[in-house]
Amino acid sequence: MLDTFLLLAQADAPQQAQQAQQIGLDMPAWLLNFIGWVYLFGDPAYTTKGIFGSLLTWLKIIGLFSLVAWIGARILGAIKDRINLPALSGIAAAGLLGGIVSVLFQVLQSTGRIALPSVAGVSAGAVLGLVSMLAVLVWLEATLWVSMSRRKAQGDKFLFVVMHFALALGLFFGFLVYSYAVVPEGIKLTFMDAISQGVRIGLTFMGYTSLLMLAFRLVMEFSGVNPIRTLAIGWLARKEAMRRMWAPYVVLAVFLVVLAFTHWFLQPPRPAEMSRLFVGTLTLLCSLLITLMIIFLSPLSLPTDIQQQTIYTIVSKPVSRLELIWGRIVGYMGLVTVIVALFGGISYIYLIRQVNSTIRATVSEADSVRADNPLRAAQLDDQAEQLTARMSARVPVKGSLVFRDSRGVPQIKGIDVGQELEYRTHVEGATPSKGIWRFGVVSHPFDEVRNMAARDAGRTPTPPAYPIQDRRVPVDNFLRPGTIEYVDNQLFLLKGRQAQGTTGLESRIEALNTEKRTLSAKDAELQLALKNAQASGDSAAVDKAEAALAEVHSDPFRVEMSFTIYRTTKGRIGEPVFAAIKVINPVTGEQYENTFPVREYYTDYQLVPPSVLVGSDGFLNIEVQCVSSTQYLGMAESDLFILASNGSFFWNFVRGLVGVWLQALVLTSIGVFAGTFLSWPVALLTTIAFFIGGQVAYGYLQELAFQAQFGGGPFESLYRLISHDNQMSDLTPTVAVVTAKTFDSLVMPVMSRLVYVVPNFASLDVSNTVADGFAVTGSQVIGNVLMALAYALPFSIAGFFVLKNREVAA
Amino acid sequence: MSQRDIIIETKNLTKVYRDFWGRPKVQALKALDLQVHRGEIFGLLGPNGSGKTTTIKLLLGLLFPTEGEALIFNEPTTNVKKNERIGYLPEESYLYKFLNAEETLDFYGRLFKIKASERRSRINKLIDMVGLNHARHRQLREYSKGMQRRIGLAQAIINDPELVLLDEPTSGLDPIGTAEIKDLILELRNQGKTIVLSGHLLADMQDICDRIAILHRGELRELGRVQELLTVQDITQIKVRDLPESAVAEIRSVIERHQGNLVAVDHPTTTLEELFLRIVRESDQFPGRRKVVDRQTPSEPVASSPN
Ligand SMILES: Nc1ncnc2c1ncn2[C@@H]1O[C@H](COP(=O)(O)OP(=O)(O)OP(=O)(O)O)[C@@H](O)[C@H]1O
Ligand SMILES: [Mg+2]
Repeated sequence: MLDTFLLLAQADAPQQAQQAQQIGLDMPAWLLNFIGWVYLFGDPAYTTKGIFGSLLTWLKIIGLFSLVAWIGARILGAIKDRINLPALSGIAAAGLLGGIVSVLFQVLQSTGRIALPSVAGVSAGAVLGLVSMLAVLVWLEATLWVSMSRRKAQGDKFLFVVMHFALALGLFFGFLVYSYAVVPEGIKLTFMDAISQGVRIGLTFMGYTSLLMLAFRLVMEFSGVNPIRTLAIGWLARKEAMRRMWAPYVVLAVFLVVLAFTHWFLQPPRPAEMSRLFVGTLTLLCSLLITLMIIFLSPLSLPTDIQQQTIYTIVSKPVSRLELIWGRIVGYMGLVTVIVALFGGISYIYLIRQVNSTIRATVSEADSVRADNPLRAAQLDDQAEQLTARMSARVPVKGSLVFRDSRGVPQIKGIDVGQELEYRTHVEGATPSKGIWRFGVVSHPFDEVRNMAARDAGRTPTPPAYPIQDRRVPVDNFLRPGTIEYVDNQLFLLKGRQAQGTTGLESRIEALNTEKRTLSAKDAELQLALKNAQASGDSAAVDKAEAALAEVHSDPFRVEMSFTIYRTTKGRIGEPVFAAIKVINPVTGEQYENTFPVREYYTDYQLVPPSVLVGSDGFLNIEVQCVSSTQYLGMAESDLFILASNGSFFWNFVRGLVGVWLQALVLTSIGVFAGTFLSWPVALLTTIAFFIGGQVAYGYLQELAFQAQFGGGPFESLYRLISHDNQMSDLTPTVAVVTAKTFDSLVMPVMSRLVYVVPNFASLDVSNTVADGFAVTGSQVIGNVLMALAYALPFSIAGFFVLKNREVAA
Repeated sequence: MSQRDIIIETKNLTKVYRDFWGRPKVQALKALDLQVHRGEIFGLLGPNGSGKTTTIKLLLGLLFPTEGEALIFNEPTTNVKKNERIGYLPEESYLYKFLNAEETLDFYGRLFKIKASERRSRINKLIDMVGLNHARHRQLREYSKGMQRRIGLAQAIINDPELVLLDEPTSGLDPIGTAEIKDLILELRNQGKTIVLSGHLLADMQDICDRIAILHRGELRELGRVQELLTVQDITQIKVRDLPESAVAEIRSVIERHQGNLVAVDHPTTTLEELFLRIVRESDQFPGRRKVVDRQTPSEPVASSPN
């Protein structure tokens, strides 16, 4: 029900008003707007697009963590202080008992054993539960308050009070929503919904307050951090790593030994995949060794320092605890930097030499067999070309893929040929089946498939329900100023604006028309010259005319593809499978068509004349069909793209190494953090667990958090388990179900955020992109740097707080 | 005595070591009230496990007090900035074994943000002073215990501190080393620095301390000027040269008339060792708290050398 509000908040202001009308909300626009903002800032599960959205989510997560940490620390403090309030412990016990009884009642009621009266639309059992919870809360708060008073922690007491205001504000908003919201069927939101929503918003606000307090304390602490001391600590950590652990030497030795034997066990399945295999393996080796080094260095340093009591001489000097942590991170990262540079340099030289010599060998072999065996020569040419292509940094423009099946029905996916591990789906040969890549500002495939069907049936398409994506072709990159296509495109755009009513464009249009006439005349002249030269067989003149023509026209653009073929038994072995490609400009209707034999495992490409782009405004449809009957072409969205540009492989390789470095940074801060409060074996295991969690389980954890949004959280699952309801069935809304859902809605936002503690190491790793010959974009690098910092900073700061409140000599 | 001249002050300083569950395990220090004044050598005495090291760790903020508080330079011990004026030699030489003497001192010097040139000259001076010139490039893992002690001491005064806390500075040192350290401590005091040292080598403490505190099982048992503590007030000692026998007999008769028992005419001093043993014996016999009066009158000038 509250999702209605989420949907509202997601929309832009004018849309909000419209949607509010649609679902029958009687609410002034400003209030709707305001609630939208409250949602955006207050609800932990809800965010907006772009950098701002990510930042907000990050703030909410960090806020919730600092809240949990703050309350946890206070509770620990109260336990240590042995706070015992006899007057209130009775209430707490009653509360606990009441809670159990309430659960019992509700279960009994839900199974129809008893019927409880209801208070203001909420069953008595639920009310009892609420009251019990409040009782326990009162006891907890009183205990914390007494503990804080005894410790004379004025700042904490202040924060404690402010947090209650934050919670009250959240509840207020919850009820605001409650009192206004009317869902489509006309059912009012329940009281429980209001509370649960209020608490969610309140918790986020509490998170913000504790974050603010934290920031305040940190600013005081930051002022004491000195680079000289931090570097001195870093120097010590590095010396320790080198002299006590011998880590860099071991790592370097292993690297060199593995490298020496690389060509023995690295046998590419196809010669063309050599560079991909080598880049992938070498980066993996580098990242693996560095990871191992970090895992064994970072969590060990502080615990040994404390255990061997060497830390006494450090903390009795004017060293801030933050310097102890950051210094170590700086020290290890210095080491990592040197090792990454060294490994990277060696790998790069090795790689270039190996691949280049292979390319040379392939080319010369192709030349030597060209006369006798042109087929083999062509194959070898392909190989050399593939090898070269992979040693670059291609910047792709990707489209959004939808399908039509063999009967021409729009589909999200192609035909499943029953290959389990294949992420590609197929189009069937010689049928209307095809894959359609859409470029431009495109709707989500779900929406598109629905609307394609609508259009097919002659109905009007409906507005999108999913976010739209920007997949526009950068037309200006492809159309060079001073060429016919460029002028055509400009003319098209200006005329379009003129048609829409913009005035004062006449002189520019006139100028463009003049330019176009000149260029067309030149083009006609050159075409004639070319024809004449071809007729007379003067190859020098042909070349000259072609070069001159290339001046007048923009270069054709490349569409690159790599499809797989699924052969049915009927196919004849050795005969190529043909694909048909059609590039359509949906604005002007300009088309380019071609049929080509599919090269399996290799990249196919088509050079498309730039005239297709004229007037497209970045919109383009590319359709691919399989021509050969009874054969299937396997394709996925990333299998076809328009090549926007080609960057330097070296810098791309460096960016890949930056990824390795960032992984090491996150892992180092986790390791050092673990070392602040755990003994070294436990800290070591913790770091390993984080790493494995981030590498392997991240996707799984995400899935869990994501699924919980739909299939219910842990409490609902528990209920289903007990009641033998399967995972998909709709539960009848008994109180128990509602309670379970309420608990879930309280717990899940926090739980699903907790998943974020595990850093997504896999996404920091861009080595596959590099190995595949795709460019790691600058924004990707920046995004990854920010993400790494988003982990490294909070972990190091958490470590600081632990260390500050720890007796290092106890 | 002005506030500025009180370098260390503890009020009701109490430390209870707890186990993992927060249950009290050892009461290591009980309500310690102390003041250490500028320019004095203050000795913390006590048998093993009496709480000397605990006191020093509390002063440095390595431990947090269970109750009470400690102030150094009138600032709370958690303030790390005050450490710029403090030097500390831990009970054992907890140093980085993988560094050599020069690197060790350089590292600690950098923690004080001492400029490179200044650092170099101080390092040379200190290494010379502790007599480790021959071993300055050897890693500390190869050092003998006494050598580690020496480099530890050098480390403690690398920042030219106003207050030096030395936990058993002479442990592990040979007699010559001990004498050297004693000279060094006196030298530091003459430079106007304040020194707090702990130990149970009483002869050494007696030689150099201006004031001492005796701890026993975490409780303060005695506090005052060494000179006064060791003066035995109920004994008068007379030493005379070339006194005729008759005069001696006369004196004897005078003493006998006063029911005296002549030993010698003087105020002899006992050794610190005797005092120490007596206090430990007494407090073992009569356990429990006892009011300890600081026997120093604050206005008194600082005595330069005992004996
Ligand atoms: N980390 C600790 N955990 C628990 N108890 C401790 C700890 N450190 C010291 N103690 C206890 O506190 C008491 C005082 O110890 P402390 O080290 O201060 O004595 P000390 O006077 O320095 O002794 P010594 O002359 O042997 O160095 C002892 O009973 C000791 O067992
Ligand atoms: Mg000791």
